[in-house]
Amino acid sequence: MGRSPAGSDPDSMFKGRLNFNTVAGIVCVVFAIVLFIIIPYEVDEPPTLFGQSGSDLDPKLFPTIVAVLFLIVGVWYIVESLGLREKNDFKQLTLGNLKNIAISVVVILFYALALEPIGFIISSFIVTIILTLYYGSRNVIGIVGVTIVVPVGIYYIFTRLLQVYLPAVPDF
Amino acid sequence: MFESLLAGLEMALRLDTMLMMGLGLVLGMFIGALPGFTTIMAMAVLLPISFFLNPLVGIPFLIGVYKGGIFGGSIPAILVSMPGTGASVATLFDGPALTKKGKSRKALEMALFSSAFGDFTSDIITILLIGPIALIAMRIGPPELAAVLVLSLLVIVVSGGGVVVKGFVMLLVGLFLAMIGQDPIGAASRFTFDFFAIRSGIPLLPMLIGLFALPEIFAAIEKRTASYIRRSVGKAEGERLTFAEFKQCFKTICRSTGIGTVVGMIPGVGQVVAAFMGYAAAKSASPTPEKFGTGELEGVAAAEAANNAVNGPTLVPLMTIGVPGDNITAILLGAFVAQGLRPGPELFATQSALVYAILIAMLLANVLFVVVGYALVPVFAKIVTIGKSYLLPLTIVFAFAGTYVYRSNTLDLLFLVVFGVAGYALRKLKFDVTPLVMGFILGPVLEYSFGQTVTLSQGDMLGYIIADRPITIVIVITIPFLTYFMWRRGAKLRRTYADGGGH
Repeated sequence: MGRSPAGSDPDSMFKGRLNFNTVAGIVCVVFAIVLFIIIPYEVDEPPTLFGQSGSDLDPKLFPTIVAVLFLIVGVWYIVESLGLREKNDFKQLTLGNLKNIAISVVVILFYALALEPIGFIISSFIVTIILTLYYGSRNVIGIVGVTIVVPVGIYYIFTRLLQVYLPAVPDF
Repeated sequence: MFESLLAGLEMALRLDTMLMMGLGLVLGMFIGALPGFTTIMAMAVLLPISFFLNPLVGIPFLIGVYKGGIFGGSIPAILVSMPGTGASVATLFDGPALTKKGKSRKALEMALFSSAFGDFTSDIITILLIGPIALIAMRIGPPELAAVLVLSLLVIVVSGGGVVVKGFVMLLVGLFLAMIGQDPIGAASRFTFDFFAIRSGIPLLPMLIGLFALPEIFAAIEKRTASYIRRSVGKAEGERLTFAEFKQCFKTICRSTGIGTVVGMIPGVGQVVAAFMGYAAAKSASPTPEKFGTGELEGVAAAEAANNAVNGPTLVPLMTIGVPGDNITAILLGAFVAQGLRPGPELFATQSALVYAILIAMLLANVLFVVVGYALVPVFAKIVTIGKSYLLPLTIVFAFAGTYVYRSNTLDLLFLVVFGVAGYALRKLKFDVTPLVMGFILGPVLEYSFGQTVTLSQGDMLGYIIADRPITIVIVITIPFLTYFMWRRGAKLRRTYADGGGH
């Protein structure tokens, strides 16, 4: 995992150019600095009882340690990244691939927002029918299975067998 | 200790436990056998089911999925040279070659029996060792625990795949995410940006399901093809495995089981490394090492016994000190926590019978494992061709339903989507999310035990540790050495099997 097999691509053109690892390293350093700045504002003082602090460990200590480590690791990462030949797999995706991903993200985002208001079975039906058709399935039995039998089956497993709550249909 | 073992035995012998474990094994083998669907994904998706079952039913169910999945991955590895899960990568050396020779049935059965043997033996060792180790763990206090946690996190980072510095970045991200919400000691609010939704912190369950189940879906969605591979490639053919052949490989299987057991007890190392180590050891011990890689049953046995022997022992660090060694045990930890059980010395002290019951159930699972595997391998051999246009939507629906039922909260679903997209992007950029999850889970425990140490030391940390906690010093001193050793070891293995990795 990690290093891609050498020699499969004219890697030499990567030399001297900003690769994604260097960028990620810079992001780490910037994030460390942001942390240093926001820690005083975003970490509350521990609640005090009778004038004594509730704990002996300052809640700022660990965030500060993490910020320092982000700085150190970020610098190390930038240095190391100059010698890394990993490829950014996003670059291998075609526009079509990206479109597929984007559509799926939109669909599941819709699912997340719609599940509660319109109910599990209806939202699952909408989501699965879009995805199944989008994948190019034209088998009617398969489509009915995935879009109706599966959501109803899962609904049954959770609500009847495991006895937990799932909104089936909208509450009016 | 012995009484709790007996009590545990009594508790474990339940019909529903056995049935759910059997179901878990079947589901695990099924999902593991599908290329592109991993054991981790199966466990992440099925995790919520365990929440609403009795712990003695739900957790063995997940353990069944775990064991079944690790074995299931070897089916497509042998038949179509595509590992179903990372753990079966070492099976690629000899498995597909045996299939080419028309001996796929022998290879599959060897994989099954050596897996089951490795699993069974290592489970027995786990049950025997976990008690004494827990006794030691019960004596450790906050300072030692803090030191052990630092050590575990470092080992997890350096022995993970890929570039070590990126592992550290992920660890820090996990530690940071864990700080959002309230600090574990005084409950002071941190990094909430006055945003109500994250006041109580980021929930673990959507993170686990999002990071481990959804990225696989996005990866499969990139290319809009309806099924994974061409049809009619998977088939178990040729003669069955004979007992003589199994006996021939027995020494190798025992060696690999030993290697897997030791590897499993060390947090962060995992099945992939064990399988490669078992394979390499078998090869160098063999009088005919040149035959390895050309379709030797012994090669399959070596890899499969080793990767399955890891399963049981990974529970040792989890149950005794509460440290999950890998993604899979992190999910098991999630299952325990959702049941209100926090693995660690305390759980062992108060509920040792339950712990033993779960371990004994795990041991019994191996018997079911052989039965289920023997009966169903020919069936599973066919499903490597199932259409993904059906399976992916199914996985999504299951992931969403499971995430929602836990707290009935739309917010959790949004976290699920965010972590899913993030996990996909991180994979594309070659970041391993394991250190992130470990940092997220162990960060608050580390901070808490450190805070307790500060309180106990009453202002004189160094004096307190030197005078009262000498073991802490021993652990702290070993941290750099052990980390360095694991780092080198990992680098060496990666160099040897440069093209093998993957989880």
